[in-house]
Amino acid sequence: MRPARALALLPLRLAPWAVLMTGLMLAAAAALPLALGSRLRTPASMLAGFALWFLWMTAGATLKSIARRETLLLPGFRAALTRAGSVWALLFWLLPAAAAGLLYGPAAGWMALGYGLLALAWAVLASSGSRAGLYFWAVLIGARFLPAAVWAALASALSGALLPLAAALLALLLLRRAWLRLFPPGDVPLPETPMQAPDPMQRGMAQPQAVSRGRLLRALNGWSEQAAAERLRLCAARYHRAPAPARQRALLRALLLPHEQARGWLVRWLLFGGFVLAYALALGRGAQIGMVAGYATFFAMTGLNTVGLGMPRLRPSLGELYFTMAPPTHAAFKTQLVDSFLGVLPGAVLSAFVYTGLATLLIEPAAWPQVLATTAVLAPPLALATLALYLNLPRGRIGRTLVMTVTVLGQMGTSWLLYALIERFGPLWGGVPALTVAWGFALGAWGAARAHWIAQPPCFDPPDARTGA
Amino acid sequence: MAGWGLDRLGSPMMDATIASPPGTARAVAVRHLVKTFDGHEVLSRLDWTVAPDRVVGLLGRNGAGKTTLLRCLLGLVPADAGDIELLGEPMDGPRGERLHRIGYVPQSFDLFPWMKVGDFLTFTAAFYRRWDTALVERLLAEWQLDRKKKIAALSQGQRQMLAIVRALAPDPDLLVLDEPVASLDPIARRDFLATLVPLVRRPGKTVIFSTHITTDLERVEADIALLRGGRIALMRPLSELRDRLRRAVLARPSGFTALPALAGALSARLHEDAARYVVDTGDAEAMARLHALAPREGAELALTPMDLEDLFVELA
Repeated sequence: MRPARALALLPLRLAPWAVLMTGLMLAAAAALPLALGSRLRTPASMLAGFALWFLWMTAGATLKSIARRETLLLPGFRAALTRAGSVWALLFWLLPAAAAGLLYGPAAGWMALGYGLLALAWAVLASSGSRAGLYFWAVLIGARFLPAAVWAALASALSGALLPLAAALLALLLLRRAWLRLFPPGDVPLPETPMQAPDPMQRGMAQPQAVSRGRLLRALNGWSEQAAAERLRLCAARYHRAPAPARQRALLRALLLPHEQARGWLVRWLLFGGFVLAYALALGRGAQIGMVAGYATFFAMTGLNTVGLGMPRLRPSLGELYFTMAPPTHAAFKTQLVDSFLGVLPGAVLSAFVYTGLATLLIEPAAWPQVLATTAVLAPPLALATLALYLNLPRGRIGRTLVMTVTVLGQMGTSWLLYALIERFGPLWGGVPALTVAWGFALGAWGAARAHWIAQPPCFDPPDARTGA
Repeated sequence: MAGWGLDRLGSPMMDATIASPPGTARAVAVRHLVKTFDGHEVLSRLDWTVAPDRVVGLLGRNGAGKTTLLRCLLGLVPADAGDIELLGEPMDGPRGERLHRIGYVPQSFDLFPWMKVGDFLTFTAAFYRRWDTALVERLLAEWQLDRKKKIAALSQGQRQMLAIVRALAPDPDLLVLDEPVASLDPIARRDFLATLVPLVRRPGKTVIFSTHITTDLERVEADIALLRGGRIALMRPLSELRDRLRRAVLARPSGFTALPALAGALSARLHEDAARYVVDTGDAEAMARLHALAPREGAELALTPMDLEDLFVELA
């Protein structure tokens, strides 16, 4: 029983704060109706449902953290996992479903069993890194556009006695898919960028699991890789002909940021433009354009975190790079590296134009010139400031998460605020102060972050497992 | 005649230098090097000098600090204290082009996994003024390394081959190899040594070669440096080790329950009721003590030659 107990308690050991938070939410859900009356029973049930869903997300993430092929070689691993899963199912699925049955009647209990299993399977699938986990959101967005009659029919069907059973069967399929996602039977896909490494090369690091890719995506990436290789050869030849710091930085950019070139951007826009389109469609016409443009700009900046997250993964390669570049000092080495990171900015800024342009065309085509002008004012400093914040991510997981969360919230808030400012006060009275403040902050943040980064001695060792990457 | 740097109890008495001709710059000079990890001193005031034109095999048990020493030498790990000179200049001074005179093959080559072999070599070659394209092409062909393959798709051994190709291509003056052949099959290992030897047996070329495969060091007739207890406990040409070091076994019918002391022995232990020592036959005083010890203990003395692996087992 020891392995099963260890597995069942693993989420508590690996993510104690998440489990504690879930426990507090469940306790609050139980205490609220008792303390404040039965009118809070429904919100309390929703809170409990969310807490359980979050708990299963944590379980999925925990499973992902131990998902290695070697893990399957542990004696009795599958049996232990089955036993641990059974305990979890009893505590966090069957018992809550039984409570729902007691509180709201047998039909509700039956529905909680079926839909609850579907929800937990989706949570496990989503946290295993599968893109299929995103389909749920697509369903939610799509639901906005369903006519009332379809809704009525759906509501009737949802209350049908057999649908929870169908949901449970679907859940079993999702769980199987999650298992295959975590322990894929075939070869692990090879890495496409410096920020991603295949399984055998990243032992001891927090694992960015190699995502199994479809044929179309592989073809698109291959197309982008061809251009990246060509650019690398070109930059190498130019540098070899006449070595100069600027040419060295260009060569470094070609090496470290292979997809920061026209084809790479196109592939990115094809892949992620869909999310922006879905978001714009979900909001529909008449939505506040500044808000949508702000979101689209923020979305364009999300890729910048690869610099902060990717650097630790790059560390084993840095020693080789150090000898190759033969810099006079460690500081000179880091200066060239950090300045080459600026190569991510054009892609981020162009993406902001593409995404905001797309969203504006769908929502409010007349505002297109104004939104693009605003993007031109805001996106470059926002990208620079974001890169500065991601550059010195703390090594500890908690600190890193904190910085990333603050950065994301700051990005969103700043984007919305500045778009609103320009929209409200016009390009002169809104734009000029926005431009001044945004560039002032961006240049200050970048200067400080760059100096701090250069001052730190370079680390050539791979990151350890706890600090992750 | 002085001993070779290890007393009976194994405490090092430093002699970590092979003399270079007067006026010749040292390839590597380390003085009082200290490196500590989590309170454990891995390198303990280590002194070491390597003359140019030598091939040095760095031996030591797992965890002895070989990789740490090599990484400290190259500036990849900051030392806690001590001075390091590489190719005649302080390592903590501006390096610049000096790094291009150094070739390094790390213990595990987990580098640039997203790149193709050809792109990696193209990228690296762009930085070097000296780059032996013919050698690269020959080795790629001989070792069947496909230029179009991603590095991540190579086996560990193939990656090590690629690291060796990359390290040899700039024709470095100092080649630092950290267990370079650990993942190679015997054929590739022999190929590598056959390639390495003529390349490095030229004037001005120095190789430091950390390995556990002692036969490889015998094949290239390396000088042997033994890292033990955080210091270079012994450094001598292999031929001298072979000629001078002997295993001395004292045996008697009643056996030994306690080890008789022998001052000057490089190592001493009880094995199957016999007292076993490693002695330096060039140390006349120690040999005299050994020959006096045998009749005093009523034991027969047998002296046998040792190969490098035996020496490693006895001394490391």
